[in-house]
Amino acid sequence: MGSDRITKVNKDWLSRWASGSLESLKPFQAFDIASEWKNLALWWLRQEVLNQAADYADKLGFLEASARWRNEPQLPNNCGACWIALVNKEAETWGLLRPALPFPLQWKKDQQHDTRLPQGLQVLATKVVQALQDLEEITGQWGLHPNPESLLTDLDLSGLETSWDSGWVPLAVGLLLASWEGTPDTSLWSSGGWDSQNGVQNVNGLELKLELAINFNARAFFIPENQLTQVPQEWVTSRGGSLRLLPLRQQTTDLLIALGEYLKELELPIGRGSHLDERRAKFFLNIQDEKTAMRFYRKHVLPNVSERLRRQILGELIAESKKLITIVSQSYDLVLLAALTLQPTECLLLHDKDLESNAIELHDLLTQKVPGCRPVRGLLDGRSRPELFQAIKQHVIQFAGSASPEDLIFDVTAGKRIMNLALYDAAPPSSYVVCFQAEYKNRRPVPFTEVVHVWRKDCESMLDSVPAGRRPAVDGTDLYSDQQQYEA
Amino acid sequence: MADVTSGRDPMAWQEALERALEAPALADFDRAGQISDDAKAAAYQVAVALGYCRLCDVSLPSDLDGVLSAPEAIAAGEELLRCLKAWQEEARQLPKRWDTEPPGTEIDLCAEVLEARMDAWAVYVAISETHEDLLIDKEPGSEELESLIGQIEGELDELDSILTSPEIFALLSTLAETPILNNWRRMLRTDDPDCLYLPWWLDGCLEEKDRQITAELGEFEQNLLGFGPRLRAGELSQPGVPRHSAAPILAIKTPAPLAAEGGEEEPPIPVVLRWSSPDGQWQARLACPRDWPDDSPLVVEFFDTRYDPATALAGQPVWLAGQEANIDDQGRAHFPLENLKARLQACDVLTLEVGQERIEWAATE
Repeated sequence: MGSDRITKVNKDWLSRWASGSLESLKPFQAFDIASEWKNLALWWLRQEVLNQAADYADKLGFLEASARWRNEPQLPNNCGACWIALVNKEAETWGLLRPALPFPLQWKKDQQHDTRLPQGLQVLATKVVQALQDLEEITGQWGLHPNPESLLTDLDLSGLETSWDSGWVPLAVGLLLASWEGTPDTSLWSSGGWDSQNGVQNVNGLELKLELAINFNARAFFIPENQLTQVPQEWVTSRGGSLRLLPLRQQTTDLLIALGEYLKELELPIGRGSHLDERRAKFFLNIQDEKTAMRFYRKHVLPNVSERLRRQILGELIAESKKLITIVSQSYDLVLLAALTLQPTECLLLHDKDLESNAIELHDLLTQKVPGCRPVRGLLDGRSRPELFQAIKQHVIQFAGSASPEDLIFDVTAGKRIMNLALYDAAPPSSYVVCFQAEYKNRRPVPFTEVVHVWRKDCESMLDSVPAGRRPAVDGTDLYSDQQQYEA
Repeated sequence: MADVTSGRDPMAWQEALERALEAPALADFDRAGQISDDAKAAAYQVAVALGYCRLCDVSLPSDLDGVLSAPEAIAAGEELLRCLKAWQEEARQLPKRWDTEPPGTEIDLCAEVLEARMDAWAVYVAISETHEDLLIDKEPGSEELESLIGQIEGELDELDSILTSPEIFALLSTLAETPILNNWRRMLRTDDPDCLYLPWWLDGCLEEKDRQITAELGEFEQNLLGFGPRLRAGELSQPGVPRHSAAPILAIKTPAPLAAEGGEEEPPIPVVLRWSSPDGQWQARLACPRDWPDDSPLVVEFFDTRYDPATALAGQPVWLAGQEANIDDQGRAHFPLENLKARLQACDVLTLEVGQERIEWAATE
């Protein structure tokens, strides 16, 4: 019976500490009940119970308890914060609990779920994590916790049984925000289930949840679009709230489309469509963590940037199967941008010893992000321009195989300057040369300022000793004639 | 522990001094250079024996009688400083060791603590003697030794403040039931009219504390006799009468005057303790707040079965952890937290007894 006792909140316990009526409740009992509910009291007990408890605490001189119980609970807006609305389905029995209960939670990176949370909620959280991992919207481990952690001090809710399905959407949106450094908005609520086969699922207890949200001064509540008609706006107005009911789209299994309006309200520009490009750019530049920014750029910026560029460049450059030769660098995903834009069938990644790990990473990234493109790594040995030229030439000959120069694209955007010069030297006549450029801010490319310059290697090339108009050899070994040797 | 009955040097301090002076490490003091740790320890042993000889008024032969040299006194003083730090920590750990060490060793634990204090006294006497000589003869080293003695006095004060703290003092008072305190008095020849000084642990205060505790315990037992289950410090709950742990009371923190606003707050009332009368007619409860001023009373409330205040019990005496109060006309009894905590230091269960017959109520939930 020590103070380290953990209270297991289950049906039996609820019968003892949540059942009864306000009419028969005595101040002393209210005090006891509020004490037993510890920090969850403020969130789950009816205000009338808390008021009585606070009055009684005043009489006993427990001023801190009194002040705490008179407080209005404030939803958290720290990073990772989210909250779900539960319905007290046994309101007649558990008459001292609110009709609908807010449950403030938070996502924490690299952590397991808090085992004090209800088992069913933990299972749901795992499903949410899995779904967002599959969509590559999150990486690594994420655990669901009470918010704040002290919310469940001395309480264990793991045995609390109820349906948690309608918490899928708020949990998922909370996790998306946490993943992308988004800011929770305590005036936005939601309730919705999710089924990967059928999309957003309807929920129960809407009116009670909406009343709860109104009490927390919510400005909008997202519910499954099919249920929008269940609750007339007049009903909301009659409750004295200015709450707007907004849809979670149901005719889709694309989560980002289903959550489109919700994400827009949250100013989290990860939804579908180019209309969000400007917001994406701004959001990307404001992300604090470099790794998160890089992930966001790849996931939500690059696809649209490359799509724009594809519309600008010569059709012949992307119409046929091409082979891309590029140099690995540490700069912002320029190789990936080139590959996504040009979509070659093969890509030669040239690199020196210093950038071997970057090359391996890029190799994997291209395999994953550019379907149909087979990346190949080529290690360059040499420091001077002639040495690098020779090394690149050997790699290009091997890589090109039977391809003609018109099928080769040399990307001189990235990499060390000397290597770029050697790469340009090594581009045979009639091959394509491309260079991607963008404006930069704080060492990050400003999205949608990217442009690509394209030209053909022709007679002014210092390698070009082949007369203009001569058809280049189709045999890769003949890409470079004896006269095409670079002379320092 | 043997009773010392007679003899001019019953503890054979002269012999101890002779042995200590034979330590080879003392040769360090005849050479120039660094004094080794062994030499410091040897000098310390000489100081202990010499100090006791002085305290016990042991007559030493002329070849033994003398004072420590300045380097020896400094080395012994430095060793004493090191020991004092360790003894302070051991003294602080005494209550914990009392609880965890094998039964029957409690007296030895307390005796070790006071034996160390005696040794410190002896060394202090020996090196003070050297200091006096240095001052009189105006020899070098007096300033260094004076500074060292100042440090030793500071550490001795710290050790004494630990030993005289209520909890530890109460434990040390158990030595009053052994001959050790009287042995030391005899050894020090306190019966001699010339003996002008007694340290605090030999001035009778420990015996007085022991008498006080014995009387309180006796009264407590007498009150309980025939009226309900008896309770002694450390005794486990009696079968059939569930009791609350004392932990919720002991865990109550004193409010910090400038506590920072914390985001992660603990519940304001972490525990509510409840009791029921044997006939089930009455209930009592005590809300244990997270923070509460030590000098403010905690309130035990009494209710009837309809949860109305037990005004019918007004005027009845009630004992919480043996501390008495009366139920007022609102069905409440007030207990200063400070007193409760003091009572519960030596007892890990919290009892509630009600009525002239001191019937113990059963803890519920």
